[in-house]
Amino acid sequence: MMDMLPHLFADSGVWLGPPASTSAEQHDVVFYTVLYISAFFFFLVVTLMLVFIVVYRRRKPGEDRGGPTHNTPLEIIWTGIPLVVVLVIFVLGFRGFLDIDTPPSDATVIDVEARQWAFSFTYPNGAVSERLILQIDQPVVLQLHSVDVLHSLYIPAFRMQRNAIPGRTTEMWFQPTKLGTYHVFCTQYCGDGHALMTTEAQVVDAAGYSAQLAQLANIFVDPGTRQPLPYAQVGERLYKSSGCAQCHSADGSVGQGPTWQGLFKRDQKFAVAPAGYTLTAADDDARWEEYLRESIVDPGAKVVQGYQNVMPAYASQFGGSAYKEKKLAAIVEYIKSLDNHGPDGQPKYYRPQESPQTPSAAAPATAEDNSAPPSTQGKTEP
Amino acid sequence: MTAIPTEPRFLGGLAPREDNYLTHQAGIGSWVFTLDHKRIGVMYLVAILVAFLLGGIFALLIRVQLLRPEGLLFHGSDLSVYKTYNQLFTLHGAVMIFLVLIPGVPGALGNFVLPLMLGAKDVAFPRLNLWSFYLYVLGALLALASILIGAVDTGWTFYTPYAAQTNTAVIPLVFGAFILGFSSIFTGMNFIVTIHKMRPAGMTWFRMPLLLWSLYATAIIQIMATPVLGITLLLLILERLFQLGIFDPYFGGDPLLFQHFFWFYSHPAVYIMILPAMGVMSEVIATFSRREIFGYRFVALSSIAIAVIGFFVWGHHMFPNGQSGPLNTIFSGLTMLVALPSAVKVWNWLATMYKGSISLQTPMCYSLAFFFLFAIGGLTGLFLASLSTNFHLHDTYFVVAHFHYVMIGGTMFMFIAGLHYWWPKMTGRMFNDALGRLACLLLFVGFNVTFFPQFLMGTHGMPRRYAVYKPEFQPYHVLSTIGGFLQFAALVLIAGYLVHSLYRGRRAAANPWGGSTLEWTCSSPPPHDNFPTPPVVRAPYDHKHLLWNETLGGYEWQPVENETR
Repeated sequence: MMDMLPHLFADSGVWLGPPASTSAEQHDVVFYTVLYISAFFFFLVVTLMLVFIVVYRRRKPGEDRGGPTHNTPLEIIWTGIPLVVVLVIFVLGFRGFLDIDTPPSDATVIDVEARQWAFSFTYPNGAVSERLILQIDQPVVLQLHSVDVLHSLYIPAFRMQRNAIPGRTTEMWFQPTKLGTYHVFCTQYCGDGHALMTTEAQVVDAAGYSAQLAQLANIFVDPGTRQPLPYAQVGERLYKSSGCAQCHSADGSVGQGPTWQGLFKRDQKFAVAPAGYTLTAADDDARWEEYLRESIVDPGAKVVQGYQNVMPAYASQFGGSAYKEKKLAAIVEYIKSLDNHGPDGQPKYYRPQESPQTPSAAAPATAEDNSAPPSTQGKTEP
Repeated sequence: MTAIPTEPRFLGGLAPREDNYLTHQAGIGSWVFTLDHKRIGVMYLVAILVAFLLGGIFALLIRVQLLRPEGLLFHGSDLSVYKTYNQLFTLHGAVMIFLVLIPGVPGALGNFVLPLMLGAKDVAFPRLNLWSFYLYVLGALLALASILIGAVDTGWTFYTPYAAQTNTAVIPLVFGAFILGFSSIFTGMNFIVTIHKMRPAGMTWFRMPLLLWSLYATAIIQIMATPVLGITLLLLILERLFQLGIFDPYFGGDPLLFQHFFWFYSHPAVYIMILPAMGVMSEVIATFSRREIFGYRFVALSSIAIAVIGFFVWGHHMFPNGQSGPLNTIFSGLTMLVALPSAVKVWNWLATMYKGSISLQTPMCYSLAFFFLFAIGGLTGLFLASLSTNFHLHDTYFVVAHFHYVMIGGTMFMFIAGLHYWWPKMTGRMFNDALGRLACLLLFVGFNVTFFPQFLMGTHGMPRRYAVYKPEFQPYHVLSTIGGFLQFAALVLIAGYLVHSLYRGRRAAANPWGGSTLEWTCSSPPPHDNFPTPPVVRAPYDHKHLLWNETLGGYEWQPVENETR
């Protein structure tokens, strides 16, 4: 614990961490103004109290110093001064709010979909990521919506948060002013995984921004070699960037949903399924693929025994266009690659750790996007 | 009625022990079916203390979990382990708010002293009073039952649509809160009628003790705001049962509508919690400063101002929640105004100490702690009322620290102050004052160690309701947990010497502190009928005729011939 202390105070003040956006700088001015006003009144009250205790302490029972019982001018003064003070604070906060609430017209619009328990960011060029990629000094509007319950996107370094509400769209905007990586938290309680609904905002320069976005946009091509990537490998990236990994493990460990390891072509038992529907290891690939597609687009249609139907439908992300259908196929291919039908009971298709073309080798920036830093995953602790 | 030899004012420690409200009747039945406001107050006190213990245990479990960033009690790869943590903070909040803070001062202390302060025999509707207590018990039992069926994990605010979707026992807990609401409404009605109709001859509105003004203002909020909570909770139950589409957008409802309805009650409810505590503060400050309260009318009317303005500020709970800009602005401005009556009270209390004769006995120590803690709690409210800073601090630990400073540092500290202040009156025994002051100091230190680091956590961005967190917040969390255990130790100490005093404590005089309100004119503990003859009403807070009598171990009223004024 003690080794945390330098980290804690090294680059941040006692009260606030370093501001990293234009509105954060404005916020800090208001914050410190209110802080100094508050500190003044606090010390005034406590000092008067302490002085009175010492000066007027009871020396013998029954004494009576005969102090005043009322003073109307004094009442007016000590109501009037705080009134002026709170009105000043109100105006300061209101002026900050006008800026917070009014995005500039040249802002980049990024769509944010919040779901239990992940954010998904969609950029103007169609790129999708689970981390928020931002360009320095470029104003950004986040359009927030939720597919299930209330969430809130909060970036402490930008001093900014807004709720994501199912059934409507809310907006927040900011203009990052410092390169770096910042925490992104969900601050509106949203169920079991609320504390794990965290990600990062990465502020990069203009060149890095376009490179990362280009890479994120064309997920089917390796940006280094310009060769098409195997579907299963693309599927793995989608698995990590679309929120699947929050509930489905790929290594057999227990989660909210069934693990994907060994899922393909096993004898499946259902809690919910149409009468007479069965799915076994003996069924052919096509029947299995159809089942997997349906389970992503319409999770409630069939529910595996031992699990509850808590998964939101992904129809909007993986259906409706040829490109989206292709992404769906990539995820199905990734699930197929995790089966146990290869030699030695190992997956027979694609093995991420052995692939010579892993994105991490070709493009470090994308690798960061794929592998969540350990600190964001409190649950990975044994 | 038993014949009482002389006017009770002069009895002091010589009051006849054989007939007081505790000994007047014996047996379980005499308690269970009692209509005596004093016994109902004592039963409330016991029930509330049990709930306080329960809520405190939940709090300690939360603090233990947060000792490590990855969680000390609940961690693992399966997300459902965090459900237990979410249930803990939900229950901590629900128990503390609905079972401890809201009924705390009015139910336990108010029931006991309100009729005594009015020189009355009882409240206006004694049967309604008992019914109110049993509704409290019923609501509490439903809340406990919900823990056994499937403890709720929505947070005490029951925000939809999550509250409409989770598979935990939302309906029993919400229905429990609904019933508790009626308990609160009945207490409020009873107090309003009692204060209107049962004031003795000579006690005008502006000669009432200030606790009564506070309880009156509280009662107004209770009867006006609580029905809104009631109907909101019923709608939530209907939403869960029949998917009516009121609050759940999946069926066409609006989650913000729920938040508006909920906070329309729950923000005034924080004044239900703090106003009675402010009333206790006024009583304690006056008695232990041996002074007429400074600016009586301003203190009295500020309670009404808080009650009225408090109805128009609920939207400040929803600034970043999708509320429109103009509405945010209006609510921010109105919220600023509600700070003023509280400031007026603080100045007047301070001025009451000026040229007083200040005795630092246990209840007064809590009042001094109140100045310190309520100042911090109130001033940090400015950060949250200001729009610009709210968008940073909303739903972080800053909010958690702010409301604990007000609700625990304010309400609970004054509840404990009142408990000590009226303990001799309730039990007829004196507690160990030295231990009392020590425990107060320990509680004060423990409280600040617990909650001050939470302000800093909040300004650095630690969100509330997190079962696990980023490692850089650990030092704050560890401090906070240490403070939690210090507070627990202080509370155990308090329980220890109070229980000890019941058996070994010195017998209390009628007026051990030198209080000038009417409850100190009847014996300790009071007789069943409170006042054998109607007491003489004088101006409130007139201390100069109350003089210390060593033989009695208390103060007695004496005409002063050569006044030193």
